[in-house]
Amino acid sequence: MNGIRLLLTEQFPRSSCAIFASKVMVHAAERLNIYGEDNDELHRAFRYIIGELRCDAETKLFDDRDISQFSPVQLTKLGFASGSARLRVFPSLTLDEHFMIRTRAIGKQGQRAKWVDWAKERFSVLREVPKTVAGNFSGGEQQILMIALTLIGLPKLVVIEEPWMGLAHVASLEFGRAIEELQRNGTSFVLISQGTVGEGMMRSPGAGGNAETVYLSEFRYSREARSLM
Amino acid sequence: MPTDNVLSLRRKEDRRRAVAFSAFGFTALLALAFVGTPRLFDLLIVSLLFICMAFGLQLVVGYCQLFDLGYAGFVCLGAYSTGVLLTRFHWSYFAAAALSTLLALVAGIILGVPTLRLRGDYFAIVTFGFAELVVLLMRNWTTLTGGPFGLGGIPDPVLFGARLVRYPPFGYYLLMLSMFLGLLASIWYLRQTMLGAQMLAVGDDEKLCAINGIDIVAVKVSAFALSAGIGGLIGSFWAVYFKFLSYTDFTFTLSVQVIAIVILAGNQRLRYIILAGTIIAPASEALRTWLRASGLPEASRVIFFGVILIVLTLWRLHDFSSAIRRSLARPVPWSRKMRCSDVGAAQVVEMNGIASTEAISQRLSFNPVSRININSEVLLEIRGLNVSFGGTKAIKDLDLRVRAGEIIAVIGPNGCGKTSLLNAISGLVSSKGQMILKGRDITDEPAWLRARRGINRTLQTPRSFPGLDEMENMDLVSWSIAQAPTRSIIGRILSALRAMFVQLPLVGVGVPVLRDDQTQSLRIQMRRAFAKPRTLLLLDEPLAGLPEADQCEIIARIDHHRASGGAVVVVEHNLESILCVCDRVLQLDKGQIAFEGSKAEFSLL
Repeated sequence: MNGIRLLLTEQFPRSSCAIFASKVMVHAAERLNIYGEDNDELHRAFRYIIGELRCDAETKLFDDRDISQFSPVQLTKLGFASGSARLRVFPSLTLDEHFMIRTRAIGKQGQRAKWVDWAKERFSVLREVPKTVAGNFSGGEQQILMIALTLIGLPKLVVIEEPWMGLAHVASLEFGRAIEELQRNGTSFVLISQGTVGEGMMRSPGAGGNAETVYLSEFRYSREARSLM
Repeated sequence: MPTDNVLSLRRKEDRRRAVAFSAFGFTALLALAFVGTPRLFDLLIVSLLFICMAFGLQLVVGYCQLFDLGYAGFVCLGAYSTGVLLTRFHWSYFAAAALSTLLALVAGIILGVPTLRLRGDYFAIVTFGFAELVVLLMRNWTTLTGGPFGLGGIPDPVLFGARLVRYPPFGYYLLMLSMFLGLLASIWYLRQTMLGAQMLAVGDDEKLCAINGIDIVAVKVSAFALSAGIGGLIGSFWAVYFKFLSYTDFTFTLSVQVIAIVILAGNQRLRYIILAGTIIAPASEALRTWLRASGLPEASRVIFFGVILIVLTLWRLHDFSSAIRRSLARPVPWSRKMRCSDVGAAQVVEMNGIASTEAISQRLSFNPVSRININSEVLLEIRGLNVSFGGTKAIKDLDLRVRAGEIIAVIGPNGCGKTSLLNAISGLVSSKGQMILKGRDITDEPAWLRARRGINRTLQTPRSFPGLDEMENMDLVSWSIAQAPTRSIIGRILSALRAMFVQLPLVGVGVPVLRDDQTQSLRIQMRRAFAKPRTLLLLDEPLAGLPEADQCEIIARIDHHRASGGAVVVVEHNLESILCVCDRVLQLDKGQIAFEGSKAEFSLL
């Protein structure tokens, strides 16, 4: 078993957040799917993991380092990469400018061309999007761009909220393949989406199967995904 | 020729055109120096002065989307610093201008660090207060600035051993022109840098910036400081050119004039700023002359600029320019390669594991309550619809008929024009072609009027009005789509009663709408969509990300809407679910119809 990449625990009943009822951990090169019925509870979980929302009594370790007081900007520098279907992209910037900003944020500005090519190889839509600002992209194209930006630069941990939203089937498959490729290189994933485990696995071809799963609801559990079907 | 090469050639062509235009403009401006009259020089200098100030303000207002009302304060600071250094300490102009710029830049940082955490109105008030404070300081520090009597006797600057003369202002014109070109090049370069992109990104979405590792406050402070520095530099020229400084020159009116240029320009393009400055500055001078001649107070210029700002907010230069460009645009070869034609409908069906629509209906436990009557009236007819974004055609020559009681599923890969089709029907984007709703031509009608005529639309990302409670959000729609009697108290009571009988979760009176609560926004959006029967309902991915129970609920509502005599056009990637309720499938490919037929025909592909 690989080492623990991310460990989240809340000390109930003192915690002010009450997002996770139990210990949640993600190992290196492992994938964790978080499902739930309540979209906003899921969004809180996303904000909590990426450091936007803080709890009073919590343990939040990233590669054995305490990150409970870290901001999203600090976490990005540590190797976090996060994206959300709610935020997507900057409408005033072009595709290249998005990659420029992202590679700078993760300290790999010199490798921009390499990562642009990497993303375009993995996501066919990015080879064909209009050569204008992202505000002119369709919703699905913006979603794919958001995902591609999150995946570049071999991050240690990828956290994406509603990654499948608005994706056509081809793009979903491409995303699934990219996840598997990154996992082989040691990247861990936390994918948050609304619905039950079964629904999540159906709408996420190639990326639902062997993941660890946390279900956010009144009834909470964490188990290997297939056993929950 | 490969498409990428065509696009690359077009970009090069655009660049060549920009270089040629700039070279022509520069030569023309330079040539004016030899043939111009003193009056013309004055006008050109003032125009360039305002354009340069607008360049500076653009960084804050245009890039970072912060409403700065205190720009005149930095110009005032720069002007008085230069004036004092030249008259009292006899510095050289270059040294005085450099120190004035630095002083304004530092003032920008000092003001920016605590205030740039504020947003919107609060930031505007703070910057306005700063400008007033600077003006008060200049008015009351009589020993240094001359106070109410002003600061006069500012000497002509000596540049490279030659003293500039005021009449004719040939030397001043060249000095202003070089400042203008220097700033133009600097700001163009800034736009190509990481900092420029980050400024735009901050203006777009701060939250997204945070998760992309952008230090928002640092970027804002940089923009604000650079903007202030440019203000200081322009102020230094102001001092030597006008020779006399009075605090009354740097009041709110000056800030408004510069803001008017930025707003008229309307976006981040420098050429629009230049164009806007060339309109506003001479207009301001002409107005000043006219007011003097008419015996009216000069302060009444504020009224003029107020009116201009209102007009310009409605009609901006770049919108006008885009309209001209669209009408002159040449067709651009479509650059998208992998589309439905590559991944055919049969494969899409196979990949989604669709056996038959009956099997799906069985799994979802859904039994349609109604079927379309093929003789029902045509609700909407679209002929030759075209939608373009810049040079890209999102929809090409599309024809479509929607009958009352019909449910059409619009499918296709990302970027094939599905949402653009809904936007065009609802009037959210401009389009070409003809659109007839219930026998009435609605082609030229705006979105709000189409909504009143019975086109109801949901958005992919649900939105609501956070300032209103849930019921008020609903009422807003009733107000917009219903006739006068519904807008009464009885109408509100009726809509509240109706809300009690719908299957979707209730909306509440007095329940606040939260800005980030997506579930609540989705609920309100769906309630809004199904609130009025017999409408043409346009649903954009209504099932995306929803649990199966909610999907079934929405599918049932779609079916009931058909039964009420309405029609539904639904864009959806979830074929499994939508095929069990729709009558017809429309598959788009590169903005054109790749397949159109019944769901039975679609399943046989």
